[in-house]
Amino acid sequence: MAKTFPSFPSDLRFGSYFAYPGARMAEQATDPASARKCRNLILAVKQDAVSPAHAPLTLIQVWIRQLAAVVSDTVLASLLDRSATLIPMPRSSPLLRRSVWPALRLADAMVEHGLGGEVLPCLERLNAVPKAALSRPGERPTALDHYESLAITLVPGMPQKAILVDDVVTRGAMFGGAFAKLTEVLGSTEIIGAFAFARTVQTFDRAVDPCVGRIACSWSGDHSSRTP
Amino acid sequence: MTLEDALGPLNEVERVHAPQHLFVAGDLSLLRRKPKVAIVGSRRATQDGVRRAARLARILVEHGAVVVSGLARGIDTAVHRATMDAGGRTIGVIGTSLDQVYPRENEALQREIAAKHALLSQFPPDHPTRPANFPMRNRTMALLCDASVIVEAAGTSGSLSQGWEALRLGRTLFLMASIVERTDLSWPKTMIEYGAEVLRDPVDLLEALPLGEDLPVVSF
Repeated sequence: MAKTFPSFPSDLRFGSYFAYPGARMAEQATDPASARKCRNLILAVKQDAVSPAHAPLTLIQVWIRQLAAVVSDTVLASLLDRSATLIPMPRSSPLLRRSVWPALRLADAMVEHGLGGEVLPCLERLNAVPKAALSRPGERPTALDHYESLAITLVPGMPQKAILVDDVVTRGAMFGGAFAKLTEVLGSTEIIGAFAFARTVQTFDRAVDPCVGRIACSWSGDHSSRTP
Repeated sequence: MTLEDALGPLNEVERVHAPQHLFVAGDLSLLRRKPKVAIVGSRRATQDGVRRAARLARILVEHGAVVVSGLARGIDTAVHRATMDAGGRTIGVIGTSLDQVYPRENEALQREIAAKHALLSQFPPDHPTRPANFPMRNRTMALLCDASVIVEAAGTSGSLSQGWEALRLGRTLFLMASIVERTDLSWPKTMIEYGAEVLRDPVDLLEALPLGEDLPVVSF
């Protein structure tokens, strides 16, 4: 019997809230102070840090509350759907017991503030893949790498439509691999898009920068690109 | 003071192993400075390990990081000395109470750190010094720091407690390439499987650090 090849997305809608400048780029930005603040905020979000000014709320909870208050005035209104199930992306390595999972906290906060219907943490990382943010361009994990390192926990009543959720999107390979895995196992679930708290940027203009764009993967899952 | 007095509020994952109290001598402001990077490793360090640890400490000082270590023999001692020699700031996180010294040979170093930098313990005065204190101290160090680097460590080293805690907290953990290449150690491969990174170039560590802000901002 012929082996079925995973279906990587050629045109997956994605949205993001913040820009995430790299360390060197932040120093070269036209407003390096803002770029540094923004970079530090995203690093803190990745650790699910508590907001110093709003304890015990985390930075994720504070900023998602702010997004919810203005979402209808942003392009993200066309992507986020309060009836969609949110599927948090696993971290790049298997989770240790009682450890930080920022994508889950992000999805929880989105549901709490009406930016999603429910949270379904059904994806699990079986094997570590290199962190995209710490990898050189040629060494970043591909959508195929992600696909091969993921497993799904099936639950009764899988959703009709879902949005993938992560803390940071680089080229979209993680979303591409998860899309292929979910499509393969949950044939009846429509994945209507992907949302990341922040997207990596080549030039830094502003920190809060809601945007909607596209992620495209090659048929083989070897290449992914994100626009913008 | 409580750890939250020193670091700001903690999330539920950070609170799991956080000590209730911290005892601090020296410059308290160093605790809130960012970035803070721990460099830790074996008490029975090789000359290469000492050289690598000292070099990394100097690079971090050049980039404005506060360098943190445990004031133990070997790698820790080299890290504190290299940091101070390079004009940087250091925090010593010790496994005894502040009024005790272990190892005795580091008494002068501990006194200097307490006077000019910051010396920190989670153990109250006269607390008995037990082997279990040291891995607890390492977990606290992981919580204090934005990133940890393990230079050399045997399978029973307290540095491993620090590595696992850093991974649990979602903090960056680097292992020196030289330990990953050792075939007699199994723990580096296990840690990599759970998200540790191999430090082949100090630039990779610098890229992973926050850029000199005290606390994350909540408005733009």
